[in-house]
Amino acid sequence: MARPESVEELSEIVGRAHRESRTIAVYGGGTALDDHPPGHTPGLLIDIGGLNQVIEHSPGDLVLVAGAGATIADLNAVAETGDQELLPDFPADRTDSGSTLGGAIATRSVGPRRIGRLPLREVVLGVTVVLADGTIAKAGGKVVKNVAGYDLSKLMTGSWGTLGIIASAALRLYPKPQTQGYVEIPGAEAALEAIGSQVAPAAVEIDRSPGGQASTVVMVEGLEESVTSRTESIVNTYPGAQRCVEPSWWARRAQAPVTIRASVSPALVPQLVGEIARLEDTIGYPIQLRGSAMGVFDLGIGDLDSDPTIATRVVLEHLRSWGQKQLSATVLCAPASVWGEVDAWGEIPGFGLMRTVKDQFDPDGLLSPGRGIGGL
Amino acid sequence: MSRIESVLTRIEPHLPPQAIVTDENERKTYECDGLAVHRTVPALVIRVTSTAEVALTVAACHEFDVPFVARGSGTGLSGGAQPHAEGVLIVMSTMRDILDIDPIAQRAIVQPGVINLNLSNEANPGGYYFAPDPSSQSVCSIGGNVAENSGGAHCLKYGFTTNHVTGVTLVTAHGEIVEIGGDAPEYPGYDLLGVLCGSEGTLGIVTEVTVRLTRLPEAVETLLIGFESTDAAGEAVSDIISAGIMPAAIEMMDALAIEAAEKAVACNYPEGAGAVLVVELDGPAIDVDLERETVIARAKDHGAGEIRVAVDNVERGLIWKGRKSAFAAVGRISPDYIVQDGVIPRSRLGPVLASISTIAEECGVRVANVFHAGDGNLHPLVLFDGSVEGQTELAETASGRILDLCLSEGGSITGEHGVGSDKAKFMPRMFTNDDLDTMQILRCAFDPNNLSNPGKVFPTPRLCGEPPRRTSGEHPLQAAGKAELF
Repeated sequence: MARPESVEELSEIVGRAHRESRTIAVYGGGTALDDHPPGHTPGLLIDIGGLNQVIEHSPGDLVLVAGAGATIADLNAVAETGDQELLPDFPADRTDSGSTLGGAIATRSVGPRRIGRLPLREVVLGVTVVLADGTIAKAGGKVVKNVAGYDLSKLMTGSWGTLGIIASAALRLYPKPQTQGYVEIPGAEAALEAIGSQVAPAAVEIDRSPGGQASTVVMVEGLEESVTSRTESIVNTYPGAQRCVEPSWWARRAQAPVTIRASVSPALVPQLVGEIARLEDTIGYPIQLRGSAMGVFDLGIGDLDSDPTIATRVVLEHLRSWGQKQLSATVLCAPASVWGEVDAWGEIPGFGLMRTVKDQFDPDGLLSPGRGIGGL
Repeated sequence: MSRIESVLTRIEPHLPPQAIVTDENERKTYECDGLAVHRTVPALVIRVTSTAEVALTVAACHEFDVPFVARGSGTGLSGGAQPHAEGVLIVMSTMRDILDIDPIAQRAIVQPGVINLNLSNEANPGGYYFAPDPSSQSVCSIGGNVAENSGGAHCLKYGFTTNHVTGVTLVTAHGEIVEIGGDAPEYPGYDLLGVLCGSEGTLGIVTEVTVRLTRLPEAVETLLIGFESTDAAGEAVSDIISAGIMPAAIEMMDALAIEAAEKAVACNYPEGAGAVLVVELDGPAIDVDLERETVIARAKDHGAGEIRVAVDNVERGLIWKGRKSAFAAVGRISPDYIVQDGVIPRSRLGPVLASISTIAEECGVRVANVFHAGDGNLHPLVLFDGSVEGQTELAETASGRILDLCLSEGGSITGEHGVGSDKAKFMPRMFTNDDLDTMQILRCAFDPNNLSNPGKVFPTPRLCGEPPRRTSGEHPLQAAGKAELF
């Protein structure tokens, strides 16, 4: 276990581990430890919490640069001093549990507000990483527009620590909206139309409890006067729609023994919701669905009294039969026993290239072995 | 038989005769892209019409170790599509079909030669458009947009091309066809799309693109605001942003750029203004109304002169005409010019513009400024007369100093035009050797033999192959003195 206090120290620790052929895992806030396969016990665990400085905050430039160990909650507080906010598209439950900047980027976490805003991969302007052999490298920069060289920030976003260790990152901030309004619409049929409607929603979420009916919640944000008028327009457009407060489940993940991440073309969202209800009936296991009508869902499979392995396998096979052009379905979170029993990843478009990228960046396989997609 | 002849012999039986260009005069027409100072006649030109033809051509190049360069409409401004003298130029503009438009799924599938504006025109009746809008959108290709990660005036709010691509078909440097991504918004694994966008043709050739379409906004409001000086206009921009408004675009032009635009397109900008801002707001009508009032109030706080609000699309077109034709317009007031594309933190606009004036004065050249003020992306146009002894060198010196200035402010050497062959030499000023080497590790994963648009982006190629600790013998590139081991 090591806790570096600077990028240089991190580089030195990683360099030493490399010379000793020691595998490395990184610990930030620990909020994604249950996601992805448990991986192998690493030869060295690095606590990134010592790299928690705010390196630069420039509200006038909408930019914040901070160490990977800084918590999202702390950085949000910094951004708020300039009436701005960080990572609009981020799960609240992870923030509440101390998720760090580096962890958020490495796991490419998603939240509801992905319609009116740029997603996480777009707001990471630059990163400094430590590579498998201890080399310190930076990519991108700290200005909101920059196309010099390869966009390695994006490569590191969602790499689960398997290509390099993020030491710091520069993020684009957003003006904090004056207010937000929520409208609940029964069923999932209105979701697609709401996304493309002129009320310009910031988020359209669909939530379906096991055995229950789906409901759609549309969120708009902006100036007080505009939010009032736009929520009213949604209420008047859709039968049964009514104003509501932020639902208790908003931006929080499904709680079930197994979580599948399913991403579909927005056009297929209504079919997906229908299919989940049918599958639930057929296999007799509860399935929860929650996510963005833009086509990113978490499916919670099973309950505490049953082994979810078979149900997980059936759901994955059914969804994948739609074809990978339209849909991807992977296991996000599962008990250790399930990982070996199901095809957790399925066909991943471009996996051969991903494997080559991994081999080039980490030829000895020292970084977070087994934690990446497809066992990378 | 030369290597090029070997490639030709291999592919000729499988291609229609009109796809193959061997005649020297005809090859010469492809010698440069939008950056005409860099010219190279390609050894062979192939005009492809399908993914299979690209794969066939690239596989032959791979087999005989011949470099290849993909070219779209050739509007690039950094020499990214400058051909290779011993290589094959693969012309993509003949792949220009829109394969599918699906407004319900909010996406379109296009071939890379499709013209940017044509896609929007096709998607408009369904209520959608393709958001990236470089000034060259009426002629540039979507494949080129992907290669350069093009921005345009509206990327402040809508993001770059990378934000609008969800899938591609890639022909790798080995000539294999790989599908990456698709219709869904998220795919598991490394963000290969994220690195392909903006890789300037060095990681293979994209032959099909799935793009996200954006809903046409309910309301659009375009304002033209005259100011006494660029300083006043710059402060107004800061105030608008800090008021929490995210305009779709905020563009600035200084007096010299306005003069050029007037001469070229008679855009009738406010008389005697030291600077103009073009501010575009879009979204729900109620928001646009509220935001317009705020923008006007903030502009007046900084001594705005004339404020013009376009009443219809014709007026909007006139306002944009001056801005979008600015580069070409400079040709009216100067025989030659160099376009730069540096980026600075927006809050440093005032001091940086002052320093640019000083540089211009010291080098004895004029500089017209046109820029995306919202995101700090400057386009200083360094004006000179190439026929006058020494002027070209002075202009290049001024250009280089402007880029150094951007870097000293913590900015970038390019915001949207790309590095290409033009700015590769500046990369070491922005990145350390380790940074550049790390980028090239990625290149080695995609193109280990350095055949895909070689010599672009990076000043020196990296050797790919065995990791240093298991190295065996000297790399052929090293032996030939073309590369060094890091």
